[in-house]
Amino acid sequence: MTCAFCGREFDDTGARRACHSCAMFGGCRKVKCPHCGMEAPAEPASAKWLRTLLTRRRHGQAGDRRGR
Amino acid sequence: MMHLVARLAGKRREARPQQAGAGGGASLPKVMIVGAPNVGKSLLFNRLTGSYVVVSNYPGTTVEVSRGVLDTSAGRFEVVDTPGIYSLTPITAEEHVTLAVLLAEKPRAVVHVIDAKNLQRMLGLTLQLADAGLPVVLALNMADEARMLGIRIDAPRLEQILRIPVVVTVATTGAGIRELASRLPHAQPAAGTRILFDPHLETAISSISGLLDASGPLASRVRALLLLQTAPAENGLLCGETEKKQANPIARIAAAARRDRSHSINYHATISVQQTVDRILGETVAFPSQAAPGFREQLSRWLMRPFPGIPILLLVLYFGLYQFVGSFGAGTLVDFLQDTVFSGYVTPWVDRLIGALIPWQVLRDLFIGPYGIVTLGIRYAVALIFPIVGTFFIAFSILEDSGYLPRLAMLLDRIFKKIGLNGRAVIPMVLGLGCDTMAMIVTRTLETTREKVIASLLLALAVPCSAQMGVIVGLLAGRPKALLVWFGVILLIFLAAGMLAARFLPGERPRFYMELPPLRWPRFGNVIAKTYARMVWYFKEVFPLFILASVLIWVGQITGLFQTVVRGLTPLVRWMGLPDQAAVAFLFGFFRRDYGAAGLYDLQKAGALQGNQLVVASITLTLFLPCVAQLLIMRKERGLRFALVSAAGITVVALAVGLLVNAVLTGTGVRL
Repeated sequence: MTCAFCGREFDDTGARRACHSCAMFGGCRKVKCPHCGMEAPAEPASAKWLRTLLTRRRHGQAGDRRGR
Repeated sequence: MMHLVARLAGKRREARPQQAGAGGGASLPKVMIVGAPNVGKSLLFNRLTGSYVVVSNYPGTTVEVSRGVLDTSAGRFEVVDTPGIYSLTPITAEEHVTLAVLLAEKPRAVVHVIDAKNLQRMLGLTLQLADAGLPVVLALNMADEARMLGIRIDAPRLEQILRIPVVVTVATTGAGIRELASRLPHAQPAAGTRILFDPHLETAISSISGLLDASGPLASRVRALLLLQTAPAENGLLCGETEKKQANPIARIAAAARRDRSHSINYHATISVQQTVDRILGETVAFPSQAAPGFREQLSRWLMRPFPGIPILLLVLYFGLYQFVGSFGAGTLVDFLQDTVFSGYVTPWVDRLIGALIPWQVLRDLFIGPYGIVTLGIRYAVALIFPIVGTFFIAFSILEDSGYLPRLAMLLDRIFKKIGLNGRAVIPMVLGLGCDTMAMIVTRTLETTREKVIASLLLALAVPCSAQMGVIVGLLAGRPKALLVWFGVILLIFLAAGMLAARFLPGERPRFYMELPPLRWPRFGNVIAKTYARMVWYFKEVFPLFILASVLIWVGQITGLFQTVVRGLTPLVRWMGLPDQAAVAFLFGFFRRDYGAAGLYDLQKAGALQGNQLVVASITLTLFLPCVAQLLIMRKERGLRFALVSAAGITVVALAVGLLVNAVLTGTGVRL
């Protein structure tokens, strides 16, 4: 994952460590950046699918245009 | 970390035959490639080793490490491509593995790959690696892109200052790779110290390094600093039985050093590292500011300066919040969902259904009464809050994906310092616009107790959550003067409360430093995915609570408690020149801030609120008592006394400001 605030990358382990002492114990369904503390909702699988689909489609269109 | 290193050391031996068989480099001297993610490490690794590479999970982890062999005229080397790392204080599993590899595998050379465009962000790790006594070779990768941006790097001078080999590379074309390969066999452990810390930190470092074995895998000085920055029980920095026996004295020195400081040791260390980096770059790099900056770089600088940063911020607020969320979301979309979908189809259909199914009026009220689950709870959630937070989340995701938020933090840093905070507090404040309760928890990322207290107070008092703000902006969207008065009063209260708190709470003025990620065009797929994830999260959060609120109000009505509380609030509401029904909205607001704002929306739609009343009610509700969840978290984070005193103070301030604004508007004869 890439933090939208500080731009650094982190993984689930890092996010879990950042949540370690929080009163919500992960019940907030958010992901916390271990580098700066920024939080964003955990992406459901459908959101990841949506991102992949849209990114792929746009890249495909760009490729088509270049091809022409 | 200690456990990880120990486990890795044990399991690595088991894994060696496989590595030797596949990569053929088990007994060869090692070259480690390290660096932040996305700097071209893997491409550079491929250039050095060719295509015959072994990729395997590092033992005991799911983190992948690639190994290959480099042939040079001076001999063969096993090249290890390590996972991305930002500093020597590991946070992620990848960073733990990289540090474990550095500690356990005794590299013959360490290639630190950095993005030549982002020297300011990345040179700090080079200094740390060199100070650790590792045989570092610095690869200034992506040099072609840096050149295109007008960045001129004096590599020989940089090499002279750092006292390590510096090679300019372009991994995509292969430029500089041959020189890099030729210099690797001659890499020597970097001698001397490059970073000097403040005297207090230097004393603690000396005390700890005196207890460490000088022949450890990293220089004692750097290990001492890492022991100060991380929990000794978790890191793998103590080597051998003699050092492990010193764990307790080291922990005592570290605890004393932490106690003596107003900010974390990490913070002080980062400041010193960055000052050193800035000094070195001043002597070795000509940035495009000294020539002509590109448009993106220029825009990035503009966003962080008061002028034109603040006018740009006002434009963002006008188009993003006022036009898109207020006019389109809270106006067009809400009108359609309320009037067409709910009033036209959903409510009549549910009325008929409940009427046919439930014969008892008291039970019908639970679903379709004035505060029923369908007529109030579901309608508020779907027809009112959904379009407002939806448009807000789209606007927020665009800003987030573009890299605007960290620049906003830099812009607001100067203003925030006046109220005892710094730019870092932008994170909880911005998150507060999403949900104040969550933001309250995030205040713990601030450096000092003073900052945490001030930020908590401001969040509870003057930062409306997204739905509440969206509804209020929507309410006042047709009356620009009224909106300006609301915004002006809330801003004034925010600054005044912050300044007063900063004046009366003792403590040092905080400093702020942050690395800036690049500014870029928001990506369509990212914006949609982020907005969707936020909507799903919000709905899961808000839907059950709105229904619960309807049930509680229904119980309150049956028992008479609801009417009693409303009657208690009514005189106050009248003093503010508001209709009696506004007391119900304030009561809703205590349950959830957005629920209260939705109550005001209903009143306005019913024609019960005029211009001045709308402004007074909106200001009072924005400043009003934090919602139940926020109050509970405030108690958890800052203690019961702070929560109760804040809640009482905030209620008094909210009502007093409401009364004052009403008196001023009435006294001056202003009609908004």
